[in-house]
Amino acid sequence: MTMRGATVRGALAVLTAFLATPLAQAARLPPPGSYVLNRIQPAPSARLLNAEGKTVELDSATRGAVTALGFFYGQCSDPQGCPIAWATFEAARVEASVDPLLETRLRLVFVSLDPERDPPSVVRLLQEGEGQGAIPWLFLTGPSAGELAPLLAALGQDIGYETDAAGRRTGVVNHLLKVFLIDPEGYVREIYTTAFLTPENLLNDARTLALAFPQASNGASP
Amino acid sequence: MHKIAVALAAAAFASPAGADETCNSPFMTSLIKGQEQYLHVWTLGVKGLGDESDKLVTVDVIPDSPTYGKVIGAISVGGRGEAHHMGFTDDRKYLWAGRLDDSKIFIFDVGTDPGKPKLVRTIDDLPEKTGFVGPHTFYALPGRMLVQALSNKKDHGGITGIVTLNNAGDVIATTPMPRENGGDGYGYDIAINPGENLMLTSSFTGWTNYMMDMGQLLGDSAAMKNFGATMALWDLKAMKPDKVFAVPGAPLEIRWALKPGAGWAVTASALTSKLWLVKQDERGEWQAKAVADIGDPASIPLPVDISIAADASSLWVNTFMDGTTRLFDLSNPEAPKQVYAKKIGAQVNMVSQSWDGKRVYFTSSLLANWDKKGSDNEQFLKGYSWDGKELRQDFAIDFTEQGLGRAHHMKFTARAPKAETK
Repeated sequence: MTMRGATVRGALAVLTAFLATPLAQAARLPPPGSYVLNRIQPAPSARLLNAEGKTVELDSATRGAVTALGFFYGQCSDPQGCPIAWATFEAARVEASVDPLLETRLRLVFVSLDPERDPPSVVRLLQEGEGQGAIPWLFLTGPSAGELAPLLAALGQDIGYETDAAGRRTGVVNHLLKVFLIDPEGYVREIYTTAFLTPENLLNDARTLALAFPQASNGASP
Repeated sequence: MHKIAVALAAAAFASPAGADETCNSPFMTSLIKGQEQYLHVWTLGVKGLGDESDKLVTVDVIPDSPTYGKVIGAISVGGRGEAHHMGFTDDRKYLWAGRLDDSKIFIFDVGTDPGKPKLVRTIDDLPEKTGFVGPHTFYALPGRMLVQALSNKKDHGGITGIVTLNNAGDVIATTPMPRENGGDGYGYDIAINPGENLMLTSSFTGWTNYMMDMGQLLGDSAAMKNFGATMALWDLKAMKPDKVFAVPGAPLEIRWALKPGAGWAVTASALTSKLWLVKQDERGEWQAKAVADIGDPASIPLPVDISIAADASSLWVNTFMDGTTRLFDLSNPEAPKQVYAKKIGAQVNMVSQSWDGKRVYFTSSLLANWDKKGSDNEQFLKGYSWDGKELRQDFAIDFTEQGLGRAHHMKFTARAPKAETK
């Protein structure tokens, strides 16, 4: 297998896996804007790389917009892992793109948990494949696992790189699925795990923040 | 491809979220579905016994370990403040333990080395910051902790609320218990059904009562009126009460059925000795109704802790006064039936079962001033095996003999729990 072939297959693995991913059942939710999402914690910043390999500060990618931030890695295929986040983002993007409240305010950001196997060249494949819709969907990766670690620790996003008997990485990144909803001022307002991650929940909360921050902008033209 | 994926995703439904060892927050990760390795007991210090301090006692429960069933560590936190309940953060790395008298919350690191917990933070200003007293239930949400208080700073009565803190221990919200539409403003336990965006709360009593000597309390007719008689159903996302149920007699621990699609919860009312079912009626309205007596209510057996099986088929119910645990068949939750009973000791309060239900642990203490006196004041942790027919004792630790104190709440840890999600 060529290197490019491997990266393409890796990048597509998560896409393929999410095709078969069931989403959690929609909950009975209060109307958007009828409730308050508390400031759980400031969203940490981090120096990351975009699809062109250029440095991007995470807070510059989230500030000003209502942002859903998730983590993935290209070879992730566990049906309870990245594919759920992927499917949720995909469904949310489709619905938000025709929602006057969200089409100019919601931004999606995916950060790779595996900078070694998901360099900018892999991120570019995803950006070109998924990042072209009306709702901006930005794909980022870390310069290295070590440089990514403080961001993950600050967000409580636990990961572990699985190794074989010889101590070599298998490619699996054990992690607990979490998606973070960040307000335009940089505060985490909700954290979703498998117990509560659905497009309906995410969009309901995003609309609540959009109503609270009418000046929010994702940079897209209406 | 996107259209196909979205269509599939929109059409599909996942099973409801799993919960931890049958009684913890469904938002908590790293379930221990196999063998628990350590059992942590939040223990009340006793004047004249050992170092007299409240402490977190760690017991080895690895079956083939040379120290199986033995105390392998104890962290004294200083003073006696009515140590009571504990709860893990959503990542199961930290264990929060509360005291009902001085309202302190101790945060232990149990993720780094669960066999050797470490005290990493003490929150000692909860009443000043929130007005609430007596942090009782610790219920994890992603990145934060719901803390149900029992009382208030102003009059030490039962009017109270819920405090939301982030995992760093900073208060980010306070929510009063409902006092309208039948609400009595009291609180006790929290239980969440995330798939339905529902939270249930129950109600107990305030600091004045729970710190009073049991004998004195029973003889104080005015004080006996100050017990909770309600449960509340909340919109979890909005943290707003939707409905208040009349549940007389201090409804305590609440357990949602974990079986996929079940959609019901149970509680036990301490003073009226009944099991209550919270379920939607034929019109889709949520209701609470008494569905079974626990022992002979006229003799006030005082049901305390309960533990539901992972498949919601059965429920352990401890009755404090006769020191007995009772197993109820929940196959028809509308009509639970007691199918087994065993006397555990002169008094028994807390019960915790493993995910597979094969191991059941019991502790003795209810509250420092409510525990029995003299020789009936047995203080223990006892571990049993359950084969579906009989509880067989595997080990017992006498907390008085070992100079530890009054054994109260229990939590499991394991050195390398299997991650829930990869």
